Amino acid sequence: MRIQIHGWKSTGIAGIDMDVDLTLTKNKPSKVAMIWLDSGGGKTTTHNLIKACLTNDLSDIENNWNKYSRKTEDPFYKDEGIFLLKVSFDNIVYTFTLKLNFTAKTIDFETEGGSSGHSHSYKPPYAAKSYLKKEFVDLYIFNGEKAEEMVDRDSDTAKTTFETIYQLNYFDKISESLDTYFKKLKESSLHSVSDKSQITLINNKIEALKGRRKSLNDEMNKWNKKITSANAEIIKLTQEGAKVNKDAEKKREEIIKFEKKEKEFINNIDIQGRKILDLYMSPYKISKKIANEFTFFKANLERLKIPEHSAKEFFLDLVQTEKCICDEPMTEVRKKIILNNAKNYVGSNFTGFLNAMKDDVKTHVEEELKNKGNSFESLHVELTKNKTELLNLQRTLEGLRDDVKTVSGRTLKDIEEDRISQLSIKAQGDLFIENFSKMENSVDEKTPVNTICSMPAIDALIKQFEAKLNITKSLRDKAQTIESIKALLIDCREATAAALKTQLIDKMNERLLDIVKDDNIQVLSIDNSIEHSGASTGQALVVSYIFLSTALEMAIEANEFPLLVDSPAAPIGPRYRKNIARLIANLPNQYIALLQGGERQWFCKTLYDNSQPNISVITLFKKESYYKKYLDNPPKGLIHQENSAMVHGFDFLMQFEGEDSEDDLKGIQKELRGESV
Amino acid sequence: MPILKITKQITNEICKKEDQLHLYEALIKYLEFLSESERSEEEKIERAETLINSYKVKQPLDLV
Repeated sequence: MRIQIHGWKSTGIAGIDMDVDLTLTKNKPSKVAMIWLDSGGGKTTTHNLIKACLTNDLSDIENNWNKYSRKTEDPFYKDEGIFLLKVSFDNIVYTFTLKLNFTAKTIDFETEGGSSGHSHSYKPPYAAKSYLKKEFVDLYIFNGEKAEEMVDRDSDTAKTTFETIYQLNYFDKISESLDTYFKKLKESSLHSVSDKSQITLINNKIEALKGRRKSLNDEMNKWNKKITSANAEIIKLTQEGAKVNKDAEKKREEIIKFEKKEKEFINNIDIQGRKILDLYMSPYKISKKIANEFTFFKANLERLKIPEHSAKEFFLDLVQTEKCICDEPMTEVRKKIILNNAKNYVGSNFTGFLNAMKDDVKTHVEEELKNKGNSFESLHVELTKNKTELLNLQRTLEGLRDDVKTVSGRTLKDIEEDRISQLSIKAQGDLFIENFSKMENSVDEKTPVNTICSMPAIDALIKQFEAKLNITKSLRDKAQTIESIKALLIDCREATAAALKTQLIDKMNERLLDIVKDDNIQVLSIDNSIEHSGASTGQALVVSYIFLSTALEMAIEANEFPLLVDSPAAPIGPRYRKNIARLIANLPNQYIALLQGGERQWFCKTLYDNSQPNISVITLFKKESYYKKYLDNPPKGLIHQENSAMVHGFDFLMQFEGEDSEDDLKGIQKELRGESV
Repeated sequence: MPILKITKQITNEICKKEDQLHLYEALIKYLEFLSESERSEEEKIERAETLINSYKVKQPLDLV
């Protein structure tokens, strides 16, 4: 790629209007150009606008409108400023136009040229884009006043410049992009872990789950055995139950029969008991002896004529007689005594009782005695017999009930209880198997492992954790790969930098020998700044100049860039200007110097002499009273702009009396006379 | 701006020594890609992935 600046045109922008055309012949720009601008002529603004056109970085304009706009009190103030840069890429000319609206603070960018013709945007040729990056353009559209920073030990400008020119910073960019890639990868991963502790944690989880799976499998086997055993037991118990049931049926029938008999006996005993109790109501019936005593009692009563002769009424009847039973006359006194004593004898009520007794003895007891048998004794015998038989019956029943039990002594109830117990074991086993076999959806990574009973859930979790582990391992592997690549990038970067520095230092020292002939200056190293053996400021700046030009020359290889320097000679000082000028003239690329007052002496003549005929020289100055003599008596070739004038040619430049250029002119005269600095 | 010959040469030597020639090719392409114009983060991530994939993972030594 060959990039050359053909010229620029500026109107309405801070400083002076200018129309710089560097074309010499056949649409080709001059290899070297010296443009002299007076102080306040817009040298720095022009420098910045050229960079803005090449890079499309408009931030400096957008942030500093006042630097680009003329002051409103300026008679040439305009609302709009236009800057036009004409540049060729591999000999195809493009025109970049910036239209700055100072009122609306807007910028329009237009591109003219190449295959796309006119465009209302920044459209350089694609192949040139890599050369138009700001960081790179900053090096070849260079502010000479910044050359000091290259040798300033407190600045890292030299390092940055070195790395930019040789694109070593791309290694850093690649390294950064690897980190960004890894960061994104981690974020997009299910689990953003890559450290060992997390891997151990996941491994432990997997191990715990595998352990749980084994324990569940063991338990499953146990349950299968238990179920098999329970099933067999249930069958056995069912059969046993059925058998016990059949044998017991007969016994039960007998039991029922005997239970019926038992009831009859109990009933009979009850009746007999009641009968005996009834006998106690008629004691003569219990024993003949008692009956005989009753008849003996009655006989005695009859023999004593009781109650007839012992009744009260006897005495009452007696007193009615004339004589007492003792044959004594029944006197009144006697009567009274007898009646009074009659009270001591039984009355008719007691008599009635005794008579009733006598009658009852006669009726019941004497009649009873006529009966041969004794009902009480027979009843007692019968009762005793019944009781004995009941006892025997109950013993038989007990035996039968015992017979209902199995040989082992278990009842049907026992067997049923055992069967239920086995069925319960089977049900528990079935539940375990069901839980073991089905997917438990509620299980997740946080579920305590020892509470999980579902095998599919365990398998799914293991799979999930293993997937995470794979991601984690993959991330870890990636991280290791990235670290290895980064280490390799550092090696490549450092080795390249070392090789380039060696070459650069050698070439710089070679040039220094040629340029600084009065002193043996050597570049020692290029780190943050350029370490050299020069003592003066001028020598330091020569070093910095040589550094930039040599580095660019080494970097461009098959490429050519313009080297446009704002104030190239001012920082160097007069002593080394001639040699620097000679160096510049011999550089392969286009060189454009934006000069200011004081830079002509010891610089321009050498540059001009060594660049002829491929050099453009332009002097630009403001239309103001100081330059009245040039305006009133215009030199040959004077070109008028709205607020400025311009003259082409080396002779005019060297004679031009600019503001504060008295010393400069003296130096020029001295130089022209062939005197030394 | 093309990548310098010296950069390519030194990078090649280092990658060759490390048996990483695929990585070298991907690295040079990435350097050239960066030098062509300003690149977005997405574009760089894409290249970074290519670079990682071109890295030849060294197998651990079999000590048995």
